[in-house]
Amino acid sequence: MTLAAQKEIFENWLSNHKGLLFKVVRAYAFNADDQDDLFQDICIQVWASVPNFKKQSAVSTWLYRIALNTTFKWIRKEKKFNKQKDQEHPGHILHDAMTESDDRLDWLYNEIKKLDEVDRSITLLMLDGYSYKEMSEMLGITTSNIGVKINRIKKHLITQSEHYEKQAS
Amino acid sequence: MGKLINLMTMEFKELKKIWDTQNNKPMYVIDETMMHRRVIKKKNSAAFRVNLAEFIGIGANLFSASIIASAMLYKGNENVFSFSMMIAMFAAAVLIGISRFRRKKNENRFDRSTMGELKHALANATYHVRFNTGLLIFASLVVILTVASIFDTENSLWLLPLIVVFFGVTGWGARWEHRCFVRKKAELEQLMIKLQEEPESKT
Repeated sequence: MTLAAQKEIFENWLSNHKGLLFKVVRAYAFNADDQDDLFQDICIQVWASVPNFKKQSAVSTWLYRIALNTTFKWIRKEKKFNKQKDQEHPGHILHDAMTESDDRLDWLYNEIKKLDEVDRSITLLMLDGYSYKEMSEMLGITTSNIGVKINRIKKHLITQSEHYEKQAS
Repeated sequence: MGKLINLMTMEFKELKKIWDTQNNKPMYVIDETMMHRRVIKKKNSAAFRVNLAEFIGIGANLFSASIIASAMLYKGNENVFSFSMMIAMFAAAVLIGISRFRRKKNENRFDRSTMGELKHALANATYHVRFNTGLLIFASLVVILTVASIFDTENSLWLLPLIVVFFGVTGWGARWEHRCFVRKKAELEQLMIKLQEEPESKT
Protein backbone atom coordinates (compact mmCIF):
# COMPACT_ATOMS: atom_id res chain seq x y z
CA MET A 1 0.00 0.00 0.00
CA THR A 2 1.37 3.42 -0.91
CA LEU A 3 1.68 6.13 1.70
CA ALA A 4 -0.84 8.28 -0.19
CA ALA A 5 -3.42 5.47 -0.20
CA GLN A 6 -2.83 4.84 3.51
CA LYS A 7 -3.27 8.53 4.21
CA GLU A 8 -6.48 8.74 2.21
CA ILE A 9 -8.02 5.75 4.00
CA PHE A 10 -6.91 7.05 7.39
CA GLU A 11 -8.42 10.48 6.79
CA ASN A 12 -11.61 8.92 5.54
CA TRP A 13 -11.87 6.67 8.60
CA LEU A 14 -11.26 9.54 10.97
CA SER A 15 -13.71 11.86 9.32
CA ASN A 16 -16.45 9.21 9.34
CA HIS A 17 -15.78 7.48 12.64
CA LYS A 18 -13.98 9.91 14.92
CA GLY A 19 -17.04 10.00 17.20
CA LEU A 20 -16.39 6.37 18.03
CA LEU A 21 -12.81 7.14 19.06
CA PHE A 22 -13.98 10.06 21.17
CA LYS A 23 -16.42 7.78 23.00
CA VAL A 24 -13.61 5.43 23.95
CA VAL A 25 -11.39 8.36 25.00
CA ARG A 26 -14.15 9.83 27.14
CA ALA A 27 -14.98 6.52 28.78
CA TYR A 28 -11.39 5.67 29.72
CA ALA A 29 -9.49 8.95 30.17
CA PHE A 30 -10.73 11.32 32.81
CA ASN A 31 -8.64 14.44 32.48
CA ALA A 32 -7.50 16.55 29.54
CA ASP A 33 -3.87 15.32 29.66
CA ASP A 34 -4.93 11.69 29.60
CA GLN A 35 -7.48 12.33 26.87
CA ASP A 36 -4.80 13.93 24.68
CA ASP A 37 -2.44 11.08 25.40
CA LEU A 38 -4.93 8.31 24.74
CA PHE A 39 -6.32 9.96 21.61
CA GLN A 40 -2.78 10.31 20.27
CA ASP A 41 -2.03 6.64 20.95
CA ILE A 42 -5.27 5.51 19.30
CA CYS A 43 -4.66 7.66 16.20
CA ILE A 44 -1.19 6.20 15.80
CA GLN A 45 -2.47 2.65 16.08
CA VAL A 46 -5.31 3.35 13.67
CA TRP A 47 -2.80 4.77 11.19
CA ALA A 48 -0.54 1.73 11.59
CA SER A 49 -3.51 -0.62 11.21
CA VAL A 50 -4.66 0.69 7.82
CA PRO A 51 -2.57 -1.77 5.72
CA ASN A 52 -3.77 -4.69 7.88
CA PHE A 53 -7.48 -4.05 7.31
CA LYS A 54 -8.78 -6.97 5.22
CA LYS A 55 -12.41 -5.85 4.96
CA GLN A 56 -13.59 -8.91 6.88
CA SER A 57 -15.50 -6.66 9.27
CA ALA A 58 -17.07 -3.21 9.17
CA VAL A 59 -14.65 -0.30 9.51
CA SER A 60 -16.37 0.77 12.73
CA THR A 61 -15.86 -2.70 14.21
CA TRP A 62 -12.22 -2.64 13.19
CA LEU A 63 -11.74 0.83 14.68
CA TYR A 64 -13.46 -0.15 17.92
CA ARG A 65 -11.15 -3.14 18.20
CA ILE A 66 -8.05 -1.01 17.61
CA ALA A 67 -9.26 1.72 19.97
CA LEU A 68 -10.10 -0.69 22.80
CA ASN A 69 -6.89 -2.71 22.46
CA THR A 70 -4.84 0.49 22.43
CA THR A 71 -6.76 1.74 25.44
CA PHE A 72 -6.06 -1.45 27.43
CA LYS A 73 -2.37 -1.15 26.59
CA TRP A 74 -2.43 2.53 27.49
CA ILE A 75 -4.03 1.74 30.87
CA ARG A 76 -1.35 -0.88 31.59
CA LYS A 77 1.36 1.59 30.61
CA GLU A 78 -0.17 4.29 32.81
CA LYS A 79 -0.36 1.91 35.76
CA LYS A 80 3.18 0.67 35.19
CA PHE A 81 4.95 3.96 34.82
CA ASN A 82 2.49 6.15 36.68
CA LYS A 83 3.82 8.86 34.44
CA GLN A 84 4.54 12.17 36.02
CA LYS A 85 2.23 14.56 34.27
CA ASP A 86 3.66 17.70 32.82
CA GLN A 87 1.93 20.40 34.80
CA GLU A 88 3.22 23.19 32.57
CA HIS A 89 1.16 22.39 29.51
CA PRO A 90 0.23 25.62 27.86
CA GLY A 91 -3.14 24.04 27.01
CA HIS A 92 -4.78 20.94 25.73
CA ILE A 93 -5.01 19.60 22.24
CA LEU A 94 -8.49 18.13 22.55
CA HIS A 95 -11.23 20.58 23.38
CA ASP A 96 -14.77 19.87 24.38
CA ALA A 97 -16.83 20.65 21.31
CA MET A 98 -20.29 20.07 22.69
CA THR A 99 -22.28 23.21 22.11
CA GLU A 100 -24.49 22.44 25.09
CA SER A 101 -23.83 19.76 27.65
CA ASP A 102 -26.33 16.96 28.00
CA ASP A 103 -26.80 16.14 31.69
CA ARG A 104 -28.17 12.70 30.95
CA LEU A 105 -25.22 11.84 28.73
CA ASP A 106 -22.78 13.14 31.38
CA TRP A 107 -24.56 10.95 33.92
CA LEU A 108 -24.31 7.94 31.62
CA TYR A 109 -20.57 8.46 31.10
CA ASN A 110 -20.11 8.82 34.85
CA GLU A 111 -21.86 5.50 35.37
CA ILE A 112 -19.73 3.88 32.67
CA LYS A 113 -16.57 5.21 34.30
CA LYS A 114 -17.51 3.41 37.52
CA LEU A 115 -17.42 0.02 35.77
CA ASP A 116 -14.26 -2.05 35.44
CA GLU A 117 -12.23 -1.87 32.22
CA VAL A 118 -13.81 -4.85 30.47
CA ASP A 119 -17.37 -4.00 31.50
CA ARG A 120 -16.77 -0.48 30.27
CA SER A 121 -15.79 -1.73 26.82
CA ILE A 122 -18.78 -4.10 26.73
CA THR A 123 -21.06 -1.20 27.66
CA LEU A 124 -19.72 0.99 24.85
CA LEU A 125 -20.15 -1.81 22.32
CA MET A 126 -23.58 -2.72 23.66
CA LEU A 127 -24.80 0.88 23.46
CA ASP A 128 -23.48 1.10 19.91
CA GLY A 129 -25.50 -1.98 18.98
CA TYR A 130 -22.81 -4.63 18.47
CA SER A 131 -23.81 -8.27 18.60
CA TYR A 132 -22.54 -10.73 21.23
CA LYS A 133 -20.50 -12.45 18.54
CA GLU A 134 -18.81 -9.21 17.46
CA MET A 135 -18.10 -8.27 21.07
CA SER A 136 -16.73 -11.72 21.73
CA GLU A 137 -14.35 -11.46 18.76
CA MET A 138 -13.23 -7.97 19.69
CA LEU A 139 -12.64 -8.62 23.37
CA GLY A 140 -11.63 -12.28 23.37
CA ILE A 141 -14.41 -13.26 25.79
CA THR A 142 -16.88 -16.09 25.16
CA THR A 143 -20.37 -15.09 23.97
CA SER A 144 -21.96 -16.70 27.03
CA ASN A 145 -19.72 -14.68 29.30
CA ILE A 146 -20.60 -11.55 27.31
CA GLY A 147 -24.27 -12.39 27.80
CA VAL A 148 -23.88 -12.73 31.57
CA LYS A 149 -21.94 -9.49 31.80
CA ILE A 150 -24.43 -7.60 29.62
CA ASN A 151 -27.33 -8.72 31.78
CA ARG A 152 -25.54 -7.54 34.88
CA ILE A 153 -24.53 -4.23 33.30
CA LYS A 154 -28.03 -3.55 31.99
CA LYS A 155 -29.56 -4.25 35.40
CA HIS A 156 -27.00 -2.02 37.06
CA LEU A 157 -27.49 0.86 34.62
CA ILE A 158 -31.26 0.65 34.80
CA THR A 159 -31.19 0.65 38.60
CA GLN A 160 -28.87 3.65 38.57
CA SER A 161 -31.06 5.41 36.02
CA GLU A 162 -34.04 4.98 38.35
CA HIS A 163 -32.05 6.64 41.18
CA TYR A 164 -31.04 9.37 38.76
CA GLU A 165 -34.60 9.97 37.62
CA LYS A 166 -35.82 10.10 41.23
CA GLN A 167 -33.14 12.62 42.16
CA ALA A 168 -33.88 14.70 39.09
CA SER A 169 -37.62 14.82 39.69
CA MET B 1 -39.29 -13.23 33.93
CA GLY B 2 -40.28 -12.47 30.34
CA LYS B 3 -42.01 -9.29 31.50
CA LEU B 4 -38.94 -8.25 33.42
CA ILE B 5 -36.76 -8.74 30.34
CA ASN B 6 -39.23 -6.72 28.24
CA LEU B 7 -39.22 -3.92 30.81
CA MET B 8 -35.44 -3.95 30.92
CA THR B 9 -35.25 -3.77 27.12
CA MET B 10 -37.63 -0.85 27.06
CA GLU B 11 -35.67 1.06 29.68
CA PHE B 12 -32.43 0.15 28.03
CA LYS B 13 -33.75 1.73 24.84
CA GLU B 14 -33.95 4.99 26.77
CA LEU B 15 -30.28 4.68 27.75
CA LYS B 16 -29.41 3.97 24.15
CA LYS B 17 -31.30 7.08 23.05
CA ILE B 18 -29.24 9.15 25.48
CA TRP B 19 -26.11 7.49 24.16
CA ASP B 20 -27.05 8.15 20.55
CA THR B 21 -27.49 11.89 21.13
CA GLN B 22 -23.72 12.31 20.84
CA ASN B 23 -23.47 10.59 17.47
CA ASN B 24 -24.28 13.65 15.43
CA LYS B 25 -22.14 16.05 17.42
CA PRO B 26 -18.35 16.02 17.46
CA MET B 27 -17.32 15.57 21.09
CA TYR B 28 -13.94 17.25 20.72
CA VAL B 29 -12.08 19.46 18.31
CA ILE B 30 -8.33 19.71 18.02
CA ASP B 31 -6.82 23.04 18.97
CA GLU B 32 -4.00 23.80 16.56
CA THR B 33 -2.63 26.76 18.52
CA MET B 34 -2.21 24.61 21.59
CA MET B 35 -0.69 21.88 19.48
CA HIS B 36 1.85 24.41 18.12
CA ARG B 37 2.73 25.60 21.63
CA ARG B 38 3.18 22.06 22.82
CA VAL B 39 5.43 21.27 19.86
CA ILE B 40 7.57 24.36 20.59
CA LYS B 41 7.91 23.18 24.18
CA LYS B 42 9.01 19.76 22.97
CA LYS B 43 11.46 21.36 20.54
CA ASN B 44 12.98 23.50 23.30
CA SER B 45 13.42 20.55 25.63
CA ALA B 46 15.00 18.49 22.84
CA ALA B 47 17.39 21.37 22.09
CA PHE B 48 18.21 21.81 25.78
CA ARG B 49 18.99 18.11 26.21
CA VAL B 50 21.20 17.93 23.15
CA ASN B 51 23.08 21.15 24.06
CA LEU B 52 23.68 19.87 27.55
CA ALA B 53 24.91 16.51 26.25
CA GLU B 54 27.34 18.24 23.87
CA PHE B 55 28.72 20.57 26.52
CA ILE B 56 29.14 17.73 29.00
CA GLY B 57 30.75 15.59 26.28
CA ILE B 58 33.24 18.31 25.33
CA GLY B 59 33.92 19.32 28.96
CA ALA B 60 34.35 15.80 30.30
CA ASN B 61 36.66 14.73 27.49
CA LEU B 62 38.81 17.87 27.70
CA PHE B 63 38.99 17.60 31.50
CA SER B 64 39.90 13.89 31.48
CA ALA B 65 42.43 14.34 28.68
CA SER B 66 44.05 17.22 30.61
CA ILE B 67 44.26 15.10 33.78
CA ILE B 68 45.94 12.29 31.84
CA ALA B 69 48.29 14.77 30.16
CA SER B 70 49.21 16.30 33.56
CA ALA B 71 49.84 12.87 35.06
CA MET B 72 52.08 12.01 32.14
CA LEU B 73 53.99 15.26 32.35
CA TYR B 74 54.39 15.70 36.10
CA LYS B 75 54.20 12.17 37.50
CA GLY B 76 55.77 10.38 34.60
CA ASN B 77 52.86 7.93 34.21
CA GLU B 78 53.75 7.29 30.63
CA ASN B 79 52.50 4.31 28.73
CA VAL B 80 51.15 3.84 25.27
CA PHE B 81 47.59 3.23 26.51
CA SER B 82 47.40 6.40 28.58
CA PHE B 83 48.81 8.35 25.69
CA SER B 84 46.28 6.81 23.27
CA MET B 85 43.46 7.58 25.66
CA MET B 86 44.53 11.20 25.98
CA ILE B 87 44.66 11.58 22.20
CA ALA B 88 41.28 9.82 21.81
CA MET B 89 39.69 12.12 24.38
CA PHE B 90 41.01 15.28 22.78
CA ALA B 91 39.87 13.98 19.41
CA ALA B 92 36.42 13.16 20.80
CA ALA B 93 36.07 16.70 22.21
CA VAL B 94 37.02 18.18 18.84
CA LEU B 95 34.64 15.85 16.98
CA ILE B 96 31.75 16.76 19.28
CA GLY B 97 32.56 20.44 18.68
CA ILE B 98 32.53 19.97 14.88
CA SER B 99 29.36 17.94 15.05
CA ARG B 100 27.68 20.63 17.14
CA PHE B 101 28.77 23.32 14.69
CA ARG B 102 27.26 21.36 11.79
CA ARG B 103 24.05 20.72 13.71
CA LYS B 104 23.62 24.41 14.53
CA LYS B 105 24.36 25.37 10.93
CA ASN B 106 21.60 23.05 9.70
CA GLU B 107 19.00 24.52 12.04
CA ASN B 108 18.08 27.23 9.51
CA ARG B 109 16.36 24.74 7.22
CA PHE B 110 13.34 24.39 9.54
CA ASP B 111 10.44 26.82 9.19
CA ARG B 112 8.38 28.11 12.14
CA SER B 113 5.21 26.22 11.33
CA THR B 114 4.04 23.50 13.74
CA MET B 115 5.35 20.87 11.36
CA GLY B 116 8.64 22.74 10.91
CA GLU B 117 9.13 23.02 14.67
CA LEU B 118 8.31 19.37 15.10
CA LYS B 119 10.77 18.37 12.35
CA HIS B 120 13.38 20.48 14.14
CA ALA B 121 12.64 18.75 17.46
CA LEU B 122 12.78 15.37 15.78
CA ALA B 123 16.09 16.22 14.05
CA ASN B 124 17.57 17.16 17.43
CA ALA B 125 16.22 14.01 19.05
CA THR B 126 17.59 11.83 16.24
CA TYR B 127 20.95 13.58 16.51
CA HIS B 128 20.91 13.05 20.26
CA VAL B 129 20.24 9.32 19.94
CA ARG B 130 23.11 8.97 17.41
CA PHE B 131 25.35 11.12 19.56
CA ASN B 132 24.66 8.94 22.56
CA THR B 133 25.29 5.75 20.57
CA GLY B 134 28.65 7.22 19.53
CA LEU B 135 29.47 8.08 23.12
CA LEU B 136 28.63 4.54 24.26
CA ILE B 137 30.99 3.10 21.63
CA PHE B 138 33.65 5.60 22.61
CA ALA B 139 33.18 4.69 26.27
CA SER B 140 33.96 1.05 25.41
CA LEU B 141 37.26 2.19 23.91
CA VAL B 142 38.00 4.17 27.08
CA VAL B 143 37.25 1.10 29.22
CA ILE B 144 39.63 -1.07 27.15
CA LEU B 145 42.40 1.54 27.26
CA THR B 146 41.94 2.12 30.99
CA VAL B 147 42.11 -1.58 31.83
CA ALA B 148 45.08 -2.06 29.51
CA SER B 149 46.79 0.93 31.11
CA ILE B 150 46.27 -0.56 34.59
CA PHE B 151 47.70 -3.91 33.50
CA ASP B 152 50.66 -2.07 32.03
CA THR B 153 51.35 -0.34 35.37
CA GLU B 154 51.86 -3.23 37.78
CA ASN B 155 51.64 -1.18 40.99
CA SER B 156 48.06 -0.05 40.32
CA LEU B 157 46.42 -3.47 39.87
CA TRP B 158 44.43 -2.92 43.08
CA LEU B 159 42.51 -0.24 41.18
CA LEU B 160 41.06 -2.80 38.80
CA PRO B 161 37.97 -3.80 40.85
CA LEU B 162 37.16 -0.15 41.50
CA ILE B 163 37.46 0.67 37.81
CA VAL B 164 35.25 -2.30 36.87
CA VAL B 165 32.57 -1.21 39.35
CA PHE B 166 32.80 2.40 38.20
CA PHE B 167 32.47 1.57 34.51
CA GLY B 168 29.78 -1.01 35.24
CA VAL B 169 27.60 1.53 37.03
CA THR B 170 28.33 4.24 34.47
CA GLY B 171 27.55 1.86 31.60
CA TRP B 172 24.26 0.81 33.17
CA GLY B 173 23.30 4.46 33.69
CA ALA B 174 24.31 5.38 30.15
CA ARG B 175 22.21 2.59 28.64
CA TRP B 176 19.21 3.60 30.76
CA GLU B 177 19.65 7.21 29.63
CA HIS B 178 19.98 6.05 26.03
CA ARG B 179 16.67 4.20 26.25
CA CYS B 180 15.04 7.38 27.59
CA PHE B 181 16.30 9.36 24.59
CA VAL B 182 15.10 6.69 22.19
CA ARG B 183 11.67 6.82 23.84
CA LYS B 184 11.57 10.62 23.57
CA LYS B 185 12.42 10.35 19.89
CA ALA B 186 9.67 7.78 19.37
CA GLU B 187 7.17 10.11 21.07
CA LEU B 188 8.09 12.90 18.68
CA GLU B 189 7.73 10.57 15.71
CA GLN B 190 4.29 9.57 16.93
CA LEU B 191 3.28 13.19 17.32
CA MET B 192 4.49 13.84 13.78
CA ILE B 193 2.23 11.07 12.42
CA LYS B 194 -0.70 12.46 14.35
CA LEU B 195 -0.06 15.98 13.18
CA GLN B 196 0.18 14.90 9.56
CA GLU B 197 -3.16 13.18 9.82
CA GLU B 198 -5.09 15.64 11.96
CA PRO B 199 -8.77 15.02 11.30
CA GLU B 200 -10.25 18.31 12.44
CA SER B 201 -8.73 21.43 13.83
CA LYS B 202 -9.62 24.63 15.56
CA THR B 203 -7.48 27.75 15.25
